[in-house]
Amino acid sequence: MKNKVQFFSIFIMSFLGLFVFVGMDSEVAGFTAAEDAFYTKCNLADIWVQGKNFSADDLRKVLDLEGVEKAERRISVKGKALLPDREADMYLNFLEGNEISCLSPVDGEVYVPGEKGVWLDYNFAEKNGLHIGDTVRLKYEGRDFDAILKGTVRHPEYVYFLRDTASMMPDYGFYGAAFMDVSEYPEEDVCFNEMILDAEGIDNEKALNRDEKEIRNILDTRIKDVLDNDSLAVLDKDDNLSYQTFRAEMEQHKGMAFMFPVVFMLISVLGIITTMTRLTKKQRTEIGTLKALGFSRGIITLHYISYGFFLSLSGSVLGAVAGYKYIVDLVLNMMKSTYLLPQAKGKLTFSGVLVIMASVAVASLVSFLSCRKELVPPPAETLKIEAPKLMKPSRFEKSKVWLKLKFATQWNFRDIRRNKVRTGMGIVGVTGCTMLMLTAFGCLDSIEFITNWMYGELNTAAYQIVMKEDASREESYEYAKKYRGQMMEIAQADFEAGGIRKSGNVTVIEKGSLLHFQGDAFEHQFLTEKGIAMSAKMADSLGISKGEFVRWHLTGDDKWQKDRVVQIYANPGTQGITMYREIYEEHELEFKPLMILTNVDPSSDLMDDDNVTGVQDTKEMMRSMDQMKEMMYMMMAIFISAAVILGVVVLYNQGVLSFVEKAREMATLKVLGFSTGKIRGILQLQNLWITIAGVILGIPFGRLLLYEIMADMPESMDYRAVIFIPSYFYSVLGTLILSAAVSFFLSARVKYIDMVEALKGIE
Amino acid sequence: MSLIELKHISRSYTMGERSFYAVFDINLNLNEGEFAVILGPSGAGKSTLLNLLGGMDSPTEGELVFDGENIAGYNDNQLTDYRAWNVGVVFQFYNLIPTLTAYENVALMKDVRANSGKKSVWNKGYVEVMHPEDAIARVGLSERMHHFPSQLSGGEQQRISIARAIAKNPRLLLCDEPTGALDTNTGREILKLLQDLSHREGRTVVMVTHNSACAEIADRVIKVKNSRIKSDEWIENPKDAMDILW
Repeated sequence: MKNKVQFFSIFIMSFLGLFVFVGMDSEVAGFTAAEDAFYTKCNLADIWVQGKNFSADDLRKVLDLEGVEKAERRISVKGKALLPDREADMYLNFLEGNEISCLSPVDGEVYVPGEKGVWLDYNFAEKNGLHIGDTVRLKYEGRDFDAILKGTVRHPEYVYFLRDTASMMPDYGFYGAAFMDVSEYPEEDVCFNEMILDAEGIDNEKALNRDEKEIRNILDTRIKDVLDNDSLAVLDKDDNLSYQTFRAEMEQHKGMAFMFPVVFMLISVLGIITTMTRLTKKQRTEIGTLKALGFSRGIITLHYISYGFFLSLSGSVLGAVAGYKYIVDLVLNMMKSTYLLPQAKGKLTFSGVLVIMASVAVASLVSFLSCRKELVPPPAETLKIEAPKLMKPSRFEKSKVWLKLKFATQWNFRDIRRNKVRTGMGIVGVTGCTMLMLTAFGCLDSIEFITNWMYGELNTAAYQIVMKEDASREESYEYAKKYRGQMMEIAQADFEAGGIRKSGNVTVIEKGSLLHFQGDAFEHQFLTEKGIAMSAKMADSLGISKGEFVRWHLTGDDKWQKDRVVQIYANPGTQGITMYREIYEEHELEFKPLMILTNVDPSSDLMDDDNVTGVQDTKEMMRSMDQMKEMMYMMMAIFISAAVILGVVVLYNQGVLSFVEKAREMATLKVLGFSTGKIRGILQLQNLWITIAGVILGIPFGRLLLYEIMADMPESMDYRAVIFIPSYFYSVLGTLILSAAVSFFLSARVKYIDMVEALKGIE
Repeated sequence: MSLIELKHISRSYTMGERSFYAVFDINLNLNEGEFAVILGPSGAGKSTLLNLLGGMDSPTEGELVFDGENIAGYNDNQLTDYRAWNVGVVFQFYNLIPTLTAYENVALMKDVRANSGKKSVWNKGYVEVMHPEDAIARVGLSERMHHFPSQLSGGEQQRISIARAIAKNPRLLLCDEPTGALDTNTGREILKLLQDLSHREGRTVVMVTHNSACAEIADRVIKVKNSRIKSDEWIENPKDAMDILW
């Protein structure tokens, strides 16, 4: 009972480690299982073939190919939903079948091919108050048409989708996806622009493995052989934003799930070492007596190992149960606004059990190693009072400076030298505390920074006019002139360097003053006129640097281009290459500026303009970032809670240990005439040193953790870890306050030290 | 001249519903420069008496006058101040700080006095704290002053403990069974040291012991039994510490 604080801290660290690990691990497993089940149920397409006008003959040719099980045509275009108060961007899908990437009904009728009506993504319908039976007015290519809302659905390709390539975060409900039978297509000429395939040997779930990649590549060649389509693109899951983003997020969670138990287990190990060493040292005579009485070494050893064993076992198991119960729901709720997946449930995995076993094994082993010194020697030796540890003064302690130091400094210095493990535990705890606080504040700073970076520095346009897909270049020029805008085209492309293939975007811009460029270190730069510039994250993913070559081709264009990367720029949102129109045209490619950036408010003029699909307000895009901020607040709360628990438990534990060890010395000091305040000051000084050391270490670790979190973002995002000065201040201050509070609370015990203790014999 | 006066001093403790006296109605005067031994079996109340004299405990009844000041009603801070200026303690188990060298253990006393401040009521222009080297030289351990307690023998540790106690030039040196943990020869040497401190340097030394042989070296022997003073005798020719046997 005397060691309850230390034992509790071992318990709580095991608890916290498994709490976070099992929580996140079950969440990842549950979510992945739900996603896999969803993809299997909906038969997510294995291959997407994009082109211009797929005929029935084309479909037959593809169906006849060896390795193709099923194929369907569809029209996927961008349009609008005309709501009473606004026009919402919509992904319109006109379907021919419903066997591949099929609709998963949420409410209303089940979609059957050939049936009239529209099926909307449930989130859009719900957030915009649309009910089954309502008439939904849609708009495509300047043509309005009505369809009756028959049902709401989830779609496997719309688990995660952005409003457009310029957006950085989803803001579902503000835009959405609609699915209809092809008979609802408002134009007379039905031009299927996409074919989706179910291929033999490719699973619905999990990323493509090597065999599946091979199947995909073979099919790629076969499809291109049989189809006479001049703008053909064959894509797979790895190119699919919805699929890829979710997978990257899961990877990120997995990484975080492992980080927590490592930190907590380290502290728990240090806790066990200090507690068990102290305990066995204190019970040395009892151990010797038991041995002398004939108890086997094994039984005594088992007794001491059982402390570490049962504490870590109970802590781990309870932590696992609590993590499974609470963290899963918490994270699932947080993810709800980003991923449109069916309700997922946490799923316990074998790794949870493995980590529990590892935690218990490590705790038992460390208990054994800590006690071995007292357990192994023969009883005659154990029964003797242990000779005190010999200490040799260091060079510093022999210097004249040392003698001039105050007693408190000398005492604490030596105390730390003698109790390295205990001190180490304190420092690790404070380091963890500062690290988590800094990461928490840093997450928010980074989002704030990225929003301002993207919409305040790189893109200074207030509006984006999106031209209709078939708008001619001359028309775009006219609008650009009218609104004093800068023209831009963003096209999808594949990149390849040194055998690594990545999907991304080619951004082509006309000269202007609204788009700005910065280097990898945020230094201002002008976009090169001598060639192509590559985004830093893409260069990193491809493993190339400035001056090296990259091969690329536009989606739908088989011709590979080869360019030297002349410049590297940083951009949080779009990854790929950027170049001026002139360079683009040198590649014999046609500049189709479908986006015009401007600072002139065009919205009222362009509402009903046939050439324009829509006008986007930068403020709206920033709003989606705010939603991300709300998610970050939740993360922050978790991180800061963990920081506080870690800081309090570890500092309190190390404080109590230190206090108990020094009780007699403090009683002596009291007798000698030291005031309570002075003795408290001595204790607080050590705590301050440990805190300062922890804070100094915590800052770089916090930066590292934040950097890792940002680096684990999906490949399409280049989020930079940024920490503003006030956040350093808050984290340091937070840690100091926490430490001071624990220290104050602990040192208050000095008042109750009984001086008579000092006069008694040594126990 | 009387340094300390104990007037009807009692100290009672309560255990559960029962209260008992550890010392009862003690009247005693201790003079400056005197070497007094409080002798008695264990449980007689001698340690309580030592605690009261040292300001480590307060009496429940009576007056305890030190140099004209009644310290019986002192609060914690006042008692700390009293100890810092007036009392040096030598413990049975030396109680040296294990992480500090002999020198540093003695140098502690500078901090004690500095901590107490010059405004103390006890700051009556007494002699300054001794330099640690001087204090250690006084107990004859100059050569070992940079050793840690764990590198010193029991006798040496007790000498350093004495050096620490005298370093602040206390007016009262209290010793709690100072030979209790030592062998006879070493014990004798320690007693000799204490005797010299009193007889040669004029320090007031009060030693608590249950060993009647040790009492033979004192100027005065106060016997305590059942919480009361049983006898108070003056020894005209105290023995030299090196001549006693036990």
